Amino acid sequence: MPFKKKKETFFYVGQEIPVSGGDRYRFLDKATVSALKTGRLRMLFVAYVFLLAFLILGGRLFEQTILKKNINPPRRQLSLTDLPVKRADIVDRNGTILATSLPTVDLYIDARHVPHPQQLAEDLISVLPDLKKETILKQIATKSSFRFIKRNLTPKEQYAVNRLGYPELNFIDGEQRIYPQSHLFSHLLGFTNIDNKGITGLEKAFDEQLTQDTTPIRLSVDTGIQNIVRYELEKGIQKFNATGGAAVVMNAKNGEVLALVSLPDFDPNRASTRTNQNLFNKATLGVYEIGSVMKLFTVTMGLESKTITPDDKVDATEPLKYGRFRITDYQGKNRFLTIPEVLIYSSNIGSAKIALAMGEEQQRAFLERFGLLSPLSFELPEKGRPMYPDPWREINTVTIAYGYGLAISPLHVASAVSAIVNGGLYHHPTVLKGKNDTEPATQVISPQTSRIMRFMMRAVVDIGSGKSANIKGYLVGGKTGSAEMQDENGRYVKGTLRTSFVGAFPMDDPKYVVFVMMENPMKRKEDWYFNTAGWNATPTGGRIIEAIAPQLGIIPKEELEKPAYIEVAYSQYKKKK
Amino acid sequence: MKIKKQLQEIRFFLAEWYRTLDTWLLWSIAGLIVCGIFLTFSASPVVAERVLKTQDTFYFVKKQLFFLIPSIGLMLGVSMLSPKQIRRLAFIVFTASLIALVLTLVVGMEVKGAKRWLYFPGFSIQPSEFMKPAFAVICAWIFASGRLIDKFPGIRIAGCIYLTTIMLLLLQPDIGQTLTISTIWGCQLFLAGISVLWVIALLGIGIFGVIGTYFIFPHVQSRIDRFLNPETGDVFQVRTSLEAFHNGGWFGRGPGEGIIKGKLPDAHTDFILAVAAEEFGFFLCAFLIFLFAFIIFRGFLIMSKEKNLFNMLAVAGLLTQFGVQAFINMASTLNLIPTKGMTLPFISYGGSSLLSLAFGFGIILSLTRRHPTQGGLE
Repeated sequence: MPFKKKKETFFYVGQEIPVSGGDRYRFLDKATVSALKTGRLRMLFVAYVFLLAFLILGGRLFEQTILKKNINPPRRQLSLTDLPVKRADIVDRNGTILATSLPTVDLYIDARHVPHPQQLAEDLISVLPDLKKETILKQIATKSSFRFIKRNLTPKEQYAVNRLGYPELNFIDGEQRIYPQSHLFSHLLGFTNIDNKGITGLEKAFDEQLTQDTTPIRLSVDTGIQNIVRYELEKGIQKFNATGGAAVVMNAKNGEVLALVSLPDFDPNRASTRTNQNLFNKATLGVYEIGSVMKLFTVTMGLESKTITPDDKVDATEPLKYGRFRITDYQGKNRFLTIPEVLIYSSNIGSAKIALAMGEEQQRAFLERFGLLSPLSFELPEKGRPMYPDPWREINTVTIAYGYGLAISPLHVASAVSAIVNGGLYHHPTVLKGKNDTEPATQVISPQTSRIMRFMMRAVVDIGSGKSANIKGYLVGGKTGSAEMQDENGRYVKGTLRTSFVGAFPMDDPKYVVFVMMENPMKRKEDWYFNTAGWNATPTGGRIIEAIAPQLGIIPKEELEKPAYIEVAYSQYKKKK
Repeated sequence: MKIKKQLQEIRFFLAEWYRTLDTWLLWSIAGLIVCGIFLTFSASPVVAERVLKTQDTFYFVKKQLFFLIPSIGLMLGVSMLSPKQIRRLAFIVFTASLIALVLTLVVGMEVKGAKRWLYFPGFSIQPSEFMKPAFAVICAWIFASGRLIDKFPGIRIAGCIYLTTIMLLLLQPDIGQTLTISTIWGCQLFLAGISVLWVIALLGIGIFGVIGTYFIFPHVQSRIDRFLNPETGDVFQVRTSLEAFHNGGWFGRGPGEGIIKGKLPDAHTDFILAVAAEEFGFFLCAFLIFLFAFIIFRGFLIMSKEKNLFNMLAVAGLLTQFGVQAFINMASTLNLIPTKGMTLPFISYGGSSLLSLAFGFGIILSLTRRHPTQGGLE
């Protein structure tokens, strides 16, 4: 050895005293000692190799767990791909929430191993009394690892189920669609199924957008206006004991829908309130013959095609005979009528004659331009296809002129009448706020024709069949219509009417169009047993206008100055009185 | 009276056994076994559910616990044997394993392209696992004899045994076990005192052998290629494994909260350290690495005072086996080396591996007992 270790001469108490200078191999032979010494030295080398290896391991561990730490480690996900992420809200034009989603929990069972199915089912029913034992047992019998037992539990229910302490009962995060306005927007919004997938209404139309984008969808509807419209329509339906009805309020300038009601309706929050009758959207899916309201289109097309001028007169002294048909006027004047008077007194004879003068081709082309012969371009999936005769004969031209033979939806009427009064621009109707700001409108009639029509419509409400909607100061113009309803065999039933009123206001520069329809309003003693539109749909429309006009910021105005052709009608009207 | 005397003798024997036993080693192994139970509980139910499609999610846990009791019994039993008895036992086990290895080639069933298992009704064993500790003991015996007995051709005999063994292993083929056996043998040869020139030469042959396997065995080639060049192939397992470490941090996400065990098919065996890292974090993994290192150094420390060459070589060989196996497993999980299917001793699931490790560690415990033995072969 190169240097010898210094020998210890002092030993502490208890210290092991080495025997003979610490030579541990002193009893062994030389060969063994040399083998052991080599082995010991080389073992030290092996130990260092291991030390190095484990230090590298430790370093790598530190690098991977600490230095490369994931700040946001992925969360464990159940393999349920169909469950949507949060569904976006739907709000009205002012941001009022119409549809939103609340987080809930869903109860499911892992039925692969259920030691006591009977006991479990009974215990579950004791805390969730609306469940049925057979259903639970059936779910357990599937032996599936995932079976829903109940969706959307309240926190109280969840607590109660947890207290039962069954490990096979589990919860997953769910989501429930809530409609805070209850019945108010039922047909417009539609609803979602139990898996929160939209199945009707806007929920269906915007299903993808609602699940992929969390920004709310802003509608053009106004909760306040919708509320008034629904309230007045429901009141009217009750008052006249009607079977149902529909109403639409549209911005005449851009085709945005402010209110859309169909009655009877349902509460989208509660599946139990739905029936086949109340699920049907009469405002967009139903198509109806609208009776005399059609005369607006007949006169408009007559003027636009220069077939007639506002100063013309039509002979309405005698019923019009056409084949086996005999067309008469309801409460006819039996005289020559000016064109405004055809509308004011709602003359079937006059309208038929205008249409005949124009011919079916022009009539058809014109109706097509107003979108009345095809389904609407509109966001709701529930859209009715107009029904019209094919082939389109001359007799059809005659009947369509005063409102029979062509069936269209209430929203068709509101959209087309908007174009008539707003200077001739047709906008596709929309429920999305601001959508039509960028969409170009179609000029369907000239501004001159539109102007003449506004004067005539104002006269209809001022002195004609629409008098009960003549709300002072708002310069309401419009047209009424009553059409006999058909039974299931397509036969017209005497005395059962579908009455409607379309109004626009204020007529100097119409901003809004209101359409009201009632089905089978009863004849009442108070109304002298009349049940035509002027007694039910029209006053309801008037009440709606009276209530919404101030909310919409319409300022009461002086009466319009009348052109000569209107003055003639007024003087006739006063003379009679 | 006779029974009382016998009982007293047994008590005496046990007291003597425990007194001479190295308790540090014993309790370190106990610590590993406890960690292993916890990690099997954590990692295996998901695998049982997914891979076996069984309703019994604790299938692997139960099986592992079932193997644990005989394993602990075997370890303690072997640790009570004397070196002479150890050599005899090792000889029997080694011979039996060799025969079984030959049998696997004949009647073994092929799993993933290799014949490694012998199937018996109700259970199956992997003979190569049991062979490793027996091989270490036999070689230590022969190396020690070669060194201490004149004209005993120790190195040549050990070389023959080694070549026979690895030939059988390569025929299966089982590259992992070949590597372990080679390391054990090489380490013992080195400790037995061959000249440094020989060491360098053999290291060269070893490296040449490793390169050789790369060209002979396509699956080895593919694994090494994927390790060196991750873009070329499927590195799903290692990437997922590293992701587990990244998710873990200091303390992990909590027991049962890991997600990668649902993705890795071998979460309960080869990649159990990744599960440990994700759920229990840096500290537990560091503790495990520390335990392995501690056991190895404790063993070498005891052996540095050893006066019996056979004991020294046998324990060094067994510790090398234990250390290399632990290192290869953890290093592949951490993507330091190409993935090699090797279990983490006492932690990973696996009955054969557990029994064989218990056998090997029983030998370590036995040979590290404090004894007044002189040098030589007694």
